[in-house]
Order: sequence, then structure tokens, then C-alpha cells
Amino acid sequence: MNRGVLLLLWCLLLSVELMAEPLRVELHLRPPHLDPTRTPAATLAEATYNNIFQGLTRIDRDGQVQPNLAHRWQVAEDGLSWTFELQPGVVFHDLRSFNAEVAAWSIRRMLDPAAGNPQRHLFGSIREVESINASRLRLHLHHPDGLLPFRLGLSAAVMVHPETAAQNHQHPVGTGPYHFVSWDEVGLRVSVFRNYWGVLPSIHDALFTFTSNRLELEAGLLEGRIDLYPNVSALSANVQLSERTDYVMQDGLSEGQVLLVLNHAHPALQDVRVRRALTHAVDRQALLSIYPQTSPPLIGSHFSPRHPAYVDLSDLYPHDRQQARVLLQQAGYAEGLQLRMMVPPPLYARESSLLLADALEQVGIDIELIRMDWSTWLEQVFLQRDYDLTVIAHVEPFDMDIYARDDYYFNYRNPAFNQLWQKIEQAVDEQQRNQLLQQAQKLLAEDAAQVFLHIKPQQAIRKKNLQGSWLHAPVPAVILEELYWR
Amino acid sequence: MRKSPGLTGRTLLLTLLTTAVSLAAILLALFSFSQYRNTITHLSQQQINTLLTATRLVQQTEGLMGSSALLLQAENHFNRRRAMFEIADRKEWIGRMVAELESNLDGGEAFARIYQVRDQLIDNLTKVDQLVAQRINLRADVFHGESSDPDRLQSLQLIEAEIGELLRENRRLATELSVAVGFHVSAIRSEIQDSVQQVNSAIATREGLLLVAAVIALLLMLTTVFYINRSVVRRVVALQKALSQDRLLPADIPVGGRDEITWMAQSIQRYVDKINLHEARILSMNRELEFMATHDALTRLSNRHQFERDLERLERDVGKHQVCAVMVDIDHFKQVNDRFGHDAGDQVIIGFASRLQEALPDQVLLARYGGEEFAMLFPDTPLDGVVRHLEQVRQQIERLPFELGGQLLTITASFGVAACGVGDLSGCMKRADQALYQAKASGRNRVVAAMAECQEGQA
Repeated sequence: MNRGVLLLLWCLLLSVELMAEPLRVELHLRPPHLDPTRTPAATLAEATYNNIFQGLTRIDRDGQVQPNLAHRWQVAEDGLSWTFELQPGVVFHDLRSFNAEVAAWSIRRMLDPAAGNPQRHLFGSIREVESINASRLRLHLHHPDGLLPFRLGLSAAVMVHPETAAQNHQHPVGTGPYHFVSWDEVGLRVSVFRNYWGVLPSIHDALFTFTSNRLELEAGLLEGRIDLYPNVSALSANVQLSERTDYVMQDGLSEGQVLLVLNHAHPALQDVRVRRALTHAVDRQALLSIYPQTSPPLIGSHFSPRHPAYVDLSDLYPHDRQQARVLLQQAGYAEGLQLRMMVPPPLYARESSLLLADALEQVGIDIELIRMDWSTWLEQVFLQRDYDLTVIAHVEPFDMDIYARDDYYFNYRNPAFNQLWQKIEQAVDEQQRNQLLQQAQKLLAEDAAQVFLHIKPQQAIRKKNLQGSWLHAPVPAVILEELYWR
Repeated sequence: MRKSPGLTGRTLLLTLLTTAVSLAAILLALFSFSQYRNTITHLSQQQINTLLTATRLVQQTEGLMGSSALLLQAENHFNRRRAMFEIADRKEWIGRMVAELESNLDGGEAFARIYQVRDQLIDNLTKVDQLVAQRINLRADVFHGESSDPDRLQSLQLIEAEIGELLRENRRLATELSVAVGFHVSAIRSEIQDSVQQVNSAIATREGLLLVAAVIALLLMLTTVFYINRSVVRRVVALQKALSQDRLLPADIPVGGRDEITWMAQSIQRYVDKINLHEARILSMNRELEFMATHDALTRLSNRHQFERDLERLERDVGKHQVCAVMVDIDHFKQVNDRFGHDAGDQVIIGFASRLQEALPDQVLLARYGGEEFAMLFPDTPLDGVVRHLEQVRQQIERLPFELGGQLLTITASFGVAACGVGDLSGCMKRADQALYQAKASGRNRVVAAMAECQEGQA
């Protein structure tokens, strides 16, 4: 009998040992902190969205709006108020209750300019937040906003509690199926939340790692330490990895536009001729060689080809070095131009920076490549706007409004666009709205607001028996709840 | 009396001991498992990771030379920059890995040297990068024929020479780096071996302890079995054997010891004692009843029924004996009853019977035959001897008056004797009765023998 007991104990210990191994998800870019309502860092959204934090609605893998903390909603006939019925029995990870008061507080905080929410501008239509009772919330609008439920499903619109919101950057407390465990140099650990209001997920523990060093990342994949890496696209080793039997490659697309971002505050870049010269100088088709196994669509403006209002403007400025030189000469830069190109750690940014620098040098622009880590990039480029050029993907869906924002790091000022965008915001009729969106795309393209490159592919690599990961990325997200081992 | 621990206490003690030893063994095993697990975890998480890091570090050090080759072969700025990106990645990663090793190992100066060598290497590579950039530009100029003056060719040669010098230096540095890291790899390897050895020896000790615990547990178990057999089973069997005896005496029940079984045996003993006592009383009552059935309650002599049974017995073996039958009757007894009452009459009968009994030899059968009438059988005595003896008895009775309520009362009796022939005892009794009748008729207070018949009997 003693032997039986020992055997049982041994099995127990073994199972504990096996269970102790968390799912490891690699996200490449280390976010500056853990509060998604205060940083645009997409990898934080990927780590926390619907894992730790949840919004009133959520965006599913097909980009559709689904109920979340609000299980039902209704819009008034005049389109000026939305009523949300909240999910009952929801508690935060510290067991505080979620109710309409908390939801109202969260939304008011999101709208407060002082709170620094990166997506605050998306909610300009909200005039007043009213909690009718514990389970019913009403939003009163300045003007009708059909995209409101979609926007409430974005990662910066998640629900937080007034008592814990201030600490979320270090110790996030949400309502999601996973609670925060630790955040250190290894990464972000989360573990299943036993009091979750929904169905408990199959994966119990997960570790998000952020390895920005390409060689280290490749080594991690080659050694099989990474279970899921949703953004492998520009990794040079992925050809070899795709041939391995333990890994599976998934070809998907994100909503992200990869841009050679131009700082419109730079004297040379204020000249539309210089901007157009830059666009002509770049062979965008050749640039796709950085993705060894996939070929994402080229773009000519800041808009997703998956949207019904999309206009293909990718041929507006064909690759033409001669034309580029002519335009530079016209702008007074025949003798050359020196620009700094800030290179953030994402692999696509790094690889394309090399090619872009080469392409620009071929038309007489001297490029100084400056590599920087993610937090430096966020600080120096995104916040301080101290840069000339940089390569980055804008993965937030339907974010054309950033060109209408004076406070955005593009430093782009175009009153015509601002007016157009205001009309778009207020357009109720979808057809009219789509026409306006097409005008906006053309306006940005003609103004060569940026060098629009391509849609960022979402090529994911996962362990063969790990199921449930998203193919496309309509929003940046790694939904642990939907993952399971087979 | 001091209360002894008893069977329950002792069994409980043994069981507790066995359980304690088993539990101790299980706890020891659990503790060993947890220690083993900790070591394994430490090995896998710390030491193996450190070893892997060190191995990766060696790889990256060598990879740095590969990147140098890429840089050297760069024919354009794109390839040159790409090589420098790779070099920067390696530098950063090497730095982090060395820091990780440093925090896990106590290397001291060796780590400082590693950093130093790495920085020297990277410095050299940055210089190489600048030289390669110059070379690319010079070559482009030469290629495009924009300039072919000997100065440029010469500076190209100078650059090549300088690059060669730097690369030789780097080769030396890389070797030094590999050696320094290799030293740590070997240190970690021996540390892992030490850990494994420690675990192994600890496990061996634990195995011994577990074995000892198992043996003790077994011994305790056997002791318990032996103890239960000795102090329970065997005693219960002895008790059962004792109880199945036919004539059970309390002394036959084993009551040794001071425990529950003893207490039970003592109870049984008391019970048996009680049963035996009851049985003795029943037997004595039976004897009394039997006596009452065969004897006269007043005189405690045999009654007529008993006398007749004795007569039948004698009749069966009369050939061996010479028997005389005697019938006796107290004279005028009715007057005694009438004058003094029945109680006094009873006193007379008791006294009369007692005098008869005293006067007669032991072998004479005497019975109260009814009322004031008595019967006797004289074995092995001739008729004349009987008559003589009876005559003495008659005179004794006549001589010694009875005291009744303060008065003296002389009592006399009449005797009829007959000598009995073979197989005719009942007839003989009748003849004795007739002789008694004759004695009564001839004036009472005399002995009359039925002569002839007796003599026949004697013949």
C-alpha cells in the first residue's frame, strides 16, 4: 500500500511539474509598462487584450464586434444615445465588482486628456456618460457614431477599476480570464483567474516574452522554447523554421500599414516634392523581399484593402529614380540631403530600413541609420518627435484620423484633410461616408503624407499541437482563452 | 489498584508506533522527493540554463567572426550595414549573456576580462566598418572611372592592410574570448556534476533510511501480530477449552494477567461459581425429597414403602441369609393420644422409635409400618436370639417411662416374631403380624414367636 501511496505522490509531483510549464508567447517588443490605456504599444495590447483586460465589446478574429462585458446594446432612433446592458456577476482580479458605475468611471477616464489614453481621439463623439443602474450604462453622443461599439472593443477602451487603475502600469487588474502574476526581465506571467465570469480557459499559465534581439529570438525559436510567435514575418530564419515538423507557419494579414514615416516638421520634408521624390525612390515591390515566405498587398495611402471604401493608389508614384532626382533638384536638394532614419527593433522595420536607406542613397539622400530599442523609440520618436524618418507599422484598425491630429508625432498639418475628416466623423450614411473616405485616401496619397509601403503581414509561427490562434490580426491580440493544446 | 493500560491501550500503542514509523517513512520519502525536485529544478532552471547560456555565448563569439567575414566581404553599403546590424545584435546579446553568467557564477575578474575583450572586438569591428565604407566608396570611384590616380589605389591598399591587421587582432581576441568563456563552461559542468553527485549520495542515504523504516514497520507489525496471538487468541482458546469441560470448577478458568480478557475470565469465573452453588442446592433438595419419599417424617425411620422395597430386595437373596421378621405395636396408644393429645402421642412415637433404634444392632432393618406400628427384619440372627434381644428391648422400654408435660408415662409394646423361609418374606410378615396379634391377645407387653415356622426356617 505504501508503494501505491508513493507512486500516487510521485505522479502528483510530476503532474505539478508538467503543469508548471507555462505557454510561452513571444511578442518581440517590450512594452514600457502594463497599462494599455496609457500606451499605444501594440505588444502590450497583444499581451493584455481579453487576457487581463476586457472592454464592453470585443473584436473577434474576423474583425467583427462581439458582446463582452456588455452582453447587449441598443442605439436610440436619432443615433445620439447608446444603451449597454452589462454582464452580471463580473469581478475584477481583486474580487471588486464590475458595474455601470465602474464602467462609467473607466470611460470618463478614457475621455480625460490628462489620463493620456492613446485612443482618446476615437471617442470624441461621446458627450456624456450615464450609469442608469448597476447593470445599465448609457452614452450620449454629440453626433451619431456607428463605429462606437467597434471602438469600445479596442484595447485602450478596456474597463478598469477606480481603486486599481493608478497601479495598472505595474500590476494590472482587470476582469479577464487571466490575472497578472509577475513582470520582470524574463517577461509577463499570467495565470488563470478562478473567479472569471466566463468559461475557464484550457491554458492555465502563460509567459509573454519580449526578445528584441533578432539572433536571440531566432535561437529561442530554433531551440523550441517559444510556443507561439504571432509576428514572425520578417525573420530570415523562418524558411528553415517552416520546414521543421514541430512548428507550423500561419500566413495572415494585419490591419497594419507599414510606413516610412516622415517628420513633417523637418524643413526638407515639408516640401511635397521632396516627399514625392522619396516615394519614387523606393521600390516597394522589391521591399517585400524582407518577407521570405509571404507577399502582402502594397498600399498607396493609409487605408486597409479589406475595407469596402479602399482605393488602390499603390501605383501613384511608381519606382523611378530619375523622377526622384528631378523632384529633389526642383526642391533645391540637388547637392544632396542628409536625413536620420530611426530604426526601431521590429524585424520588418530593421530589414526595410536597410533597403530603404540603400534606395534613398541611390537618389542622393545620405541616410544615417540609428538603431534604438523600443522604449527609446517610443520616447524619442513617438513622444519627443525627434527624428527625420522612421519605419513603423500602424496596426490600429481604421486609424486614418491620426492625420487630423495636430498632437501626433507625424507633425502633419493639412486643414483640407482635417475638414474632410470632420465630415467623415459625422457622416451617417455609409455610402456617403465611404465616398468621403476614398477622398481622404486620395488626399493623403497626393500629398505624399508618408511613404506608404505595404500591409504588414501577420505571419505567425506556433507549435504544431497548439490550436486556436488567430490567422489574421484585425486588432493586435493574442487571445489565450481561445488557445488549447491538442 | 493501579489502572493498567489494558489490551486496548497496548494494541493502540503498537498500532500508533507502526503508524508513526510508516508516516515517518512516507514523510522522509516526501521530503526526499521535494529535495530531489528542488535540485532537478535548480539543475534545469539554473545550471542547465547557465550552461546553455555559456554555450550560446561561445556560439555568438564565434558568430562574431562570421559577421566580421560578412562585413569584410560587403561590396556595398547595404551589406555593410546589414553586417553591422548583426554585429550590434551579437554585441548586445553577448553583453546580456555575460551579465547573466556573472549573476549566476562568481567569476570576478574573468568577467571583466570578457567584457573588455568583447568591447575591444567591437571597437575593432567598428573601425573595420569605417574602413570597409571607405573601401566601398573608393572602389566605386575607381569602378566608375571617376578617378584612377595612383593615390587612390595606394590608399585602397593601405586600407586593405589596416583591415588585415585589425582582423588578425580580432582573431586573437576572439580566441581569448572563447577560452575565457570555455573556462566558465567547464566550471558549470563540474558544478552540475557536483550537484548530481550530491543528489545521488543524498538519495542513497535516504534509501537506506527508508529501508530501515520499512524493516522497523515490518517488525512492529509482526510484534503486533505476535502480541495479539499471545495475549488474545491463545487466552481466548484456553478459556474456550476450560468452558467446554463437563464439571467446570471456578478454579479451572484461567484468570492470569490484568487486562480486558482477565476481567472477562473473572466474570465468567464468578458466574460459574454461582452456577455450581445453585446446582449444589438443587442436589441437596433432591436428596431431601428422596429421603422424604422413603422415610417417615416423624421418626426419620424407613416408611412402610421403603421397608417393603427392602423386603423385596432381601427376598431375592434370602437364600444367603437367615431372616426373622418382627411386628411391633405400642400398647394402648389410643389412650395416650386421647389423654395427652396428638402432639404428646407424636412425642411418644418419636421416643419409642429412638429407643428401638438405639437398642437394635445396626444391621436390623427398622421401619415405621403405620400409626404406632413398627416392623423389623433381623438378618443372620436365629429366632431365639431375636426373641431374647427383643425381650431385653421390651423390658428396657417398660422400665424407662416417658416424660410428657411433667408426667412420667410408662409405655409398653407388644412384639410378634416369625422366622422366614426361602422366598416367603411376605408370608413371614403375615405370620409375625399373627404373632403380634397373639401377643396383644394374651395380655400385651410381651414377645410372641411363631415357633414352628421359624424353626422350619432355621432348618
